[in-house]
Amino acid sequence: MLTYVLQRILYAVPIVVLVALVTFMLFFMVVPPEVMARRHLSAKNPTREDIQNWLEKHGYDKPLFVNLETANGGQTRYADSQFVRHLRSVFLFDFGKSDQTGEPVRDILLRHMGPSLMLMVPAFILSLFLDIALALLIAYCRGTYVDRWALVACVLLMAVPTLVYIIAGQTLFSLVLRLSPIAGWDDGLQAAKFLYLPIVLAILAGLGGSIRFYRTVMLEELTRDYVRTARAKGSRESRILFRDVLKNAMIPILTSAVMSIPFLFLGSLLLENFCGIPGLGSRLIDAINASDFAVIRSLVFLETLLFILGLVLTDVSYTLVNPRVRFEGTPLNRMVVPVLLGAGAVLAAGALVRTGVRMLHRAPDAGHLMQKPWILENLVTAGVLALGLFLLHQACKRAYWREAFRRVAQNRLALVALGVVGLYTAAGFLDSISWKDAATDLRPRSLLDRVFRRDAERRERTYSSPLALEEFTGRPARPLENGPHLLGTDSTGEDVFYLTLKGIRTALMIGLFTTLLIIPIAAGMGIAAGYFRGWVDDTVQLLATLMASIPEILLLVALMTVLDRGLPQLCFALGVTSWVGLCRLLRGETLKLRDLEYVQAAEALGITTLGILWRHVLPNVMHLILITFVLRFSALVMSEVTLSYLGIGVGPGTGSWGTMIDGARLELARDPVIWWNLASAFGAMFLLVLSFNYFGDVLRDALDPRLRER
Amino acid sequence: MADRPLLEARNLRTYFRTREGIARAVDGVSFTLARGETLGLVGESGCGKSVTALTLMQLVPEPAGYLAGGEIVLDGDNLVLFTPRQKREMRGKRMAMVFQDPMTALNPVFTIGSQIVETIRQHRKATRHEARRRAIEMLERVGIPLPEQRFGEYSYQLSGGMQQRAMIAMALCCQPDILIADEPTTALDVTIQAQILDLLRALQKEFGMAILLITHNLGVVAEMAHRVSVMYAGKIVESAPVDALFRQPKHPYTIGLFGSLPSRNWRGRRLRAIPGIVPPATQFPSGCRFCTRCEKAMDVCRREEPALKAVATSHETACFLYP
Repeated sequence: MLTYVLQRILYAVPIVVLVALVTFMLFFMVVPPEVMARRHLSAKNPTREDIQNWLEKHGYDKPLFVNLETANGGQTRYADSQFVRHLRSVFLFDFGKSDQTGEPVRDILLRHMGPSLMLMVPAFILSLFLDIALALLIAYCRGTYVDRWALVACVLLMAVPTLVYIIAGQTLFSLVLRLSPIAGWDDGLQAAKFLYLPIVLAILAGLGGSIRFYRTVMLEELTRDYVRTARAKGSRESRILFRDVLKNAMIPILTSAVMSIPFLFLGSLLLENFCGIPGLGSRLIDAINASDFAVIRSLVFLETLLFILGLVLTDVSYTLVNPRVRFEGTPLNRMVVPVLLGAGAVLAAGALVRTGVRMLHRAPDAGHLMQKPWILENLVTAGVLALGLFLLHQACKRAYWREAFRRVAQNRLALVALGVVGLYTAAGFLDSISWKDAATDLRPRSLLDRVFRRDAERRERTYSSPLALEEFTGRPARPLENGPHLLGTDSTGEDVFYLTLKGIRTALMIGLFTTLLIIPIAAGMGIAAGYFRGWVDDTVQLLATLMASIPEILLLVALMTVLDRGLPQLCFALGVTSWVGLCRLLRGETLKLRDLEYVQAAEALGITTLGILWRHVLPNVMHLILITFVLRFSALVMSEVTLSYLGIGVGPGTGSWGTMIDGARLELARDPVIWWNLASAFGAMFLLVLSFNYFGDVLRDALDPRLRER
Repeated sequence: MADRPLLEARNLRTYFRTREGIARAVDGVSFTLARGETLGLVGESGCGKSVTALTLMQLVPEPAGYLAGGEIVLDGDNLVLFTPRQKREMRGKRMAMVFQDPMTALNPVFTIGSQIVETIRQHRKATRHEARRRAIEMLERVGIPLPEQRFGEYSYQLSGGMQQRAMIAMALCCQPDILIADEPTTALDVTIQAQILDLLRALQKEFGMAILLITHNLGVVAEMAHRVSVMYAGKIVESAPVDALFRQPKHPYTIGLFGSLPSRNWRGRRLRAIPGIVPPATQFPSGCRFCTRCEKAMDVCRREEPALKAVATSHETACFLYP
């Protein structure tokens, strides 16, 4: 056990070093310094002098890696480069001064760490206990109506994004029921009364997913042989569940509990912001709004470090429940090549993104790439449609997929869910095909616009409730010119139903393009790692662990801050943070496939490696790719909501549900309450996510090879 | 003592509800077991032997499986009529079971010793120390060297043979009247097999318990059993003392089984197998279940099911060849 602990700690060291490299790459390499300066000084038209001053002040004028200039006295100062300064700052915990306030970053961090921990630690521990207890109860009552209703409840709970929990919870508990203060903070133990609500909300947000997973784990353990032996010994069912099964189940449960720690980071970001807790999260949000790079990069590094520490601690606690735990990383002597390759990959990726950013900034209307050439967009839409039909055609040729479709079709609810998804997709397609009627039109109008007969001018000027006949601004109400709107209008008089429909396209694009980005990368790396093994596998594992060590939300924040807002940037950022799961899954499956006889037979016949990968390996992992796509889709859609709230979403030009929900927070505090924006956006998203999730579950069961043997 | 059999199974029927229909895994099985006797239950994979064992222990997985009929009389008590609590008390104390694969049958996250102690304290009032002492005693009795050390070890730290011994210790620690051994040696290599069988025989002599030995290995049966019942497709087709069965098998299936054993004298000749495969439990043929594969099948075989009839002293078979 001691060797395990030591190995685990030692494995974390190169990860930390690489994380420092990644943060350096993100914040120093990816965005050219002039662009950064320009953004900071965006208020006035910066002169070359202004820019140069700003660069000098913040140390961006030094060379990137090695300083080859000679100073006045003839001394060379190799180490006076941005990279070395960055390394020094992170490893000596001297993070410099805040770009915004000039205060030493270290003081800021120390001051804010306490409240964050006071929120996160109780929330994590309490939710772990509660989730396990509830899952045990449900597993004990398996097969009864308690079990069935609990499952339904979990699925519903999972379709609600954290942001909506917070908004709804705050409104319900603080405003309506007045059970706890809305927001605020106090020193010392007095702070407790401000923590009740956020902790409850944090537990609630994670409840559905955790209980569902833990229940599945326990039910699976109940099918194992040792349970049969325990029954044959005459043990009580309750004892079997609470002792024999629970200890075995703790192994995957602890693993997944660790996976949920990054969501604690996210939840704490939002919770701290909403509930006025002066923790690291809310400080980060302030820094994002002020483009305070110094604070952002310090926080990203520090929280990553804490997260890695948490991972190591949890792995060590693993040894308490699993007597045969073995270290599964690469032993230290084989790490040299992977670390070098990993560093190289990180730098190469950075250079690639830098080129991309440069190209984006050269284009006159940076960030609106998607809306500019509408011909291109129509072609892309047609291309996506063709691809989808092609894949479907290919699938129908194989009995495996036909059988899976047949089994899915037996479940009528799944067909309904598929129908709902189909409707959404149809709306999305309608909105993706657009053209300009005349050269003088400001923007191209899509098919959706035309179906809705959107006039170029809006008649309404401000809010009106659903199906109301008048606007209201508090002053004498003004009758609507276009007749009652189905779901009301928003603050600029735009029809809410129309806005919701426009949001469909954004949601679908986020889900689709991000996945299209993830799949080649994750599949390429995962399959290569599983097939070629050796140093390829070690390197891919290292990169995957590296990416997984940086909490997803922080990486997203970092990327979006650096790249600025916009739909393509969002897709890219979401893609970068999500490829690890699929990669690991495919690696595992490929490892199994590689040892099967038909692969060995193909090799013996002299088929090229590429041929084997394309014809034997790839088709056999397609079902995993499909399931991951379907299940990740809703997570991606929901994360857009959160990111739009944080101010790093798609940006103001593109319609999205996230922006609607974001604005809802202030609207709910008005009198009379304006609820229809939030309800409509959330309702549309909830329906889509629920349908997708349910269909994904049924599809996964239908594709599960184990179920086929019955 | 031998007047009333210790265990009597009458006309057991265990069915499973599946998507393709009802699977009649055990369809009218009857046998008896006397004290101190070993009954071998032989048959191919899928004939229903393991389900019979689970039925005896009342461990058939619900709700898919259910007892569709029959009685199990253990020393005068009808197990079928027991309350769940009584069934639990019966298991491990009066009737115990040892399973095929000891690696998965033992709980990997608890030590061997703690699993035995758990059984002991379940059925008797014993302090932790007493239970521990007794468990170490049992480990020694089943031939595990250094039992105090092994007590604190996990299943993965033991070899296959050791694991099986530990399982046997766990099953016998409360001295049950009957031990059901479901393919206890199939997962072990041959030399260990012999040791385990010797151990079972010694323990039987020492504790005086009856053993229901389930296996598909005729060699194991020959060594261990006093009497043998041959099962096919959910029914018992022949039942006899072991010598009689081996010397004069009556049922065509039993004859086929013996005929398929390879022999040294057959160098260079083709192995003889029974043609066809065991029909799935949802699609048994009408009439005698073996009729589709029997070389002696007659018209009546396809129409009616034969009943078990005595053809010699305590030798029964279910075949129309012996009316």
